[in-house]
Amino acid sequence: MKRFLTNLNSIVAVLLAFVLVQMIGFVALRNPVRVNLSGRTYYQLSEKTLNLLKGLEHEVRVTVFFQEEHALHDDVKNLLKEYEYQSRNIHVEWVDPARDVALTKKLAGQYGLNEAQVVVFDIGENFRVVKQTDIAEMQRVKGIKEPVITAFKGEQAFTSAIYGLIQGDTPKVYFLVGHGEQRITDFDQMAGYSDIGTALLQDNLDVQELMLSGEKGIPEDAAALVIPGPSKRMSPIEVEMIEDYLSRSGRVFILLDALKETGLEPMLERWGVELRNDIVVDPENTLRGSDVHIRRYNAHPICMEMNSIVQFILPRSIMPPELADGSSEDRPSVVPLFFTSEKSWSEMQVEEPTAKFEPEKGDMAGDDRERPISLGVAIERGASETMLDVQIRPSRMVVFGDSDFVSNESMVGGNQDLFMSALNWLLEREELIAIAPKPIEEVRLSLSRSELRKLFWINVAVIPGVAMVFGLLVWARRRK
Amino acid sequence: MGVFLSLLKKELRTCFYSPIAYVVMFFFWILTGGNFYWLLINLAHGESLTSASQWMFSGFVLPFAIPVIVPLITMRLFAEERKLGTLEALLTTSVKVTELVLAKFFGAFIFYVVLWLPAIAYTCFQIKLAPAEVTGFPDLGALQAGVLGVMLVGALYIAIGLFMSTLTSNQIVAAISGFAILIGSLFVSMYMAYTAQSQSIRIVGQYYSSFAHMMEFSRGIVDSRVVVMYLGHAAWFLFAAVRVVEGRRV
Repeated sequence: MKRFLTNLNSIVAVLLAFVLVQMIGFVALRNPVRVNLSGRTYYQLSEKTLNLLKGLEHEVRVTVFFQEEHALHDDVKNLLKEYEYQSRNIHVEWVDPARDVALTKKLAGQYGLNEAQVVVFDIGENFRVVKQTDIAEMQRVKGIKEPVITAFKGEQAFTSAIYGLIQGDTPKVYFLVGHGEQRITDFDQMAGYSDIGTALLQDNLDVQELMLSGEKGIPEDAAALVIPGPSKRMSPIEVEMIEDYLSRSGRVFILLDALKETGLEPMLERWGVELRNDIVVDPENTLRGSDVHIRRYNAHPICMEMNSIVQFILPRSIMPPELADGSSEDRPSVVPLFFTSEKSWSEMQVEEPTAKFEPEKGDMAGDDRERPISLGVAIERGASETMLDVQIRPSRMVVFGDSDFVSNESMVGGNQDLFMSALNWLLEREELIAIAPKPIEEVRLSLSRSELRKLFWINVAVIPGVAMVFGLLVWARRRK
Repeated sequence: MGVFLSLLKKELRTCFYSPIAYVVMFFFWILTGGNFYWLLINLAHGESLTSASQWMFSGFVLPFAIPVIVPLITMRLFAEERKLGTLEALLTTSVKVTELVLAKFFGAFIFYVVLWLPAIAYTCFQIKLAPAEVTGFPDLGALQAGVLGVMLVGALYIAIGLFMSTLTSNQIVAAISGFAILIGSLFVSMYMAYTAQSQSIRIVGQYYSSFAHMMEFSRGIVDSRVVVMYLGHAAWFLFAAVRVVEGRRV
């Protein structure tokens, strides 16, 4: 009996001690201290991020869709750990798209994802999708199949996403319909615009279609108006509404197709766009003949970051005005964005079966040094730095000479990036928060083959050999 | 204190006089040596700093080797004395059980530290070959954190092994139950931390997964939550061991 009681006493004591240990552990969990002893700042958060996280009041659910084998997996994980440590409102959930198929499907439906390796930031009513191309700078290297990661900019991407979410405002982008435009509600695999619509939603933009008949003007809440490839003439009243909106610091993105008259021409002319009734042919930069690959970009915020090829399909030229006389305050500044190659030309005889460069019939050569053929322009008016105290929002317009380049079929290469970049310039949504990317830290020792062999013998043979020798000595002594 | 020191001295003597210690040492040193050699090969081809420093104390071999090695060290501690009957003799003296348990714990722990000494030798070779200021590797801060991590993991494992050894008079039983608990918990916590479906299970798994902790430590991160977890649980197992041994005194 006495033994039983002592045993019981011991068991209770041990159990109580266990509870005590868990309690201490819990207190420690609530008051974590995390120190980085290594001298590296690779995952160290910048001041900007720390301030943002300190004042974070929303619960942010972070869902990471990354395969464990992915090259960025560890970087993303280690970085998000720092975010989690800094704010209790950050909850990170890991979903491996290859393993958690059911959960991936469910969440992919919820967030409208169509690619793996993304990080979704969600504060309940709003979410933002950060793609792997936003997290790292990658470069294709000859001879290596996978792109090589050259810099890690996860902090920039994540902090911008959180910042954009808690800012709360979702700019409303209207897509004009009613004149045979491309439609974001069109899920056609070829011509539809649904993919770019989804991309806009993922970028925290509110997307809506707009029919002008029955409206008094462009809605007040419009952050931008996209006119995606109208194929029918608009009425002068509608064009007036658009121009009125544009003049009131509006933001308009026009995608024009070749051989289509839209009614927008007089307005565009007033804003300094020279339109030609042409198709641009570029035998140097084409795959099928009808497409034109753009490689030459002008220095403008829209195309600054462009490094992949953009494919336009049967584009028309969009040129800045020939004569830029004087620079009055009121004159819009028109900047060409990208040019076709020197071998290209603007073909005016579009009815003829074979395209041929005939300058006497009005064709224009692409190798003109003064006026290379451009396929898109960015227009800004009222952005003067000499304004007194009053800051007036400038009017901005972007005109591209093709609308098919972001249809569901053509979202290749840099097409979507170019579209988003132009839209972000219109919305003045350039990088929300700038944090310098971190270059990948790689160690490389210059060890010769013979040195390696020597080290192999030292590490794997000599040092264990010491243990063996001692062991044998002890054994011999014990035998005596 | 004097009693504790003499107990510790006796413990170390027994440990370093047993051939099994050298067998353990031999195989573990082959493992750490091979692990470091593999790291060097990777470094010769170019390797990211994070993976390199993680390889130092973690990687694919060492986290699984430690739970195999530790029960071999600890199986002897109480089981042997119980079998030989020396434990009963010791308990009749004025020796405090706590002192006895701590002496045995630190005896095993010192041996465990000796097991890790070559890792420092490897680093010295490597620094001689390519100075750390040039390559950025090894990072001394990360090394310190890695050593701390290895020691914490070892302390907990040794405490568990020691506790297992108090339960039986058979060394083999002590060793095998030690393996079972350590390897089992390692894999279960790894499974929970990395592949479990439910988020809460993952959090619990990450809290207990020494594999995940070693990754963090070896890249220089010291987290108070993890340190408290190891020390607290090690202390608890030692306390349990004390109660078990005291139970035999009655």
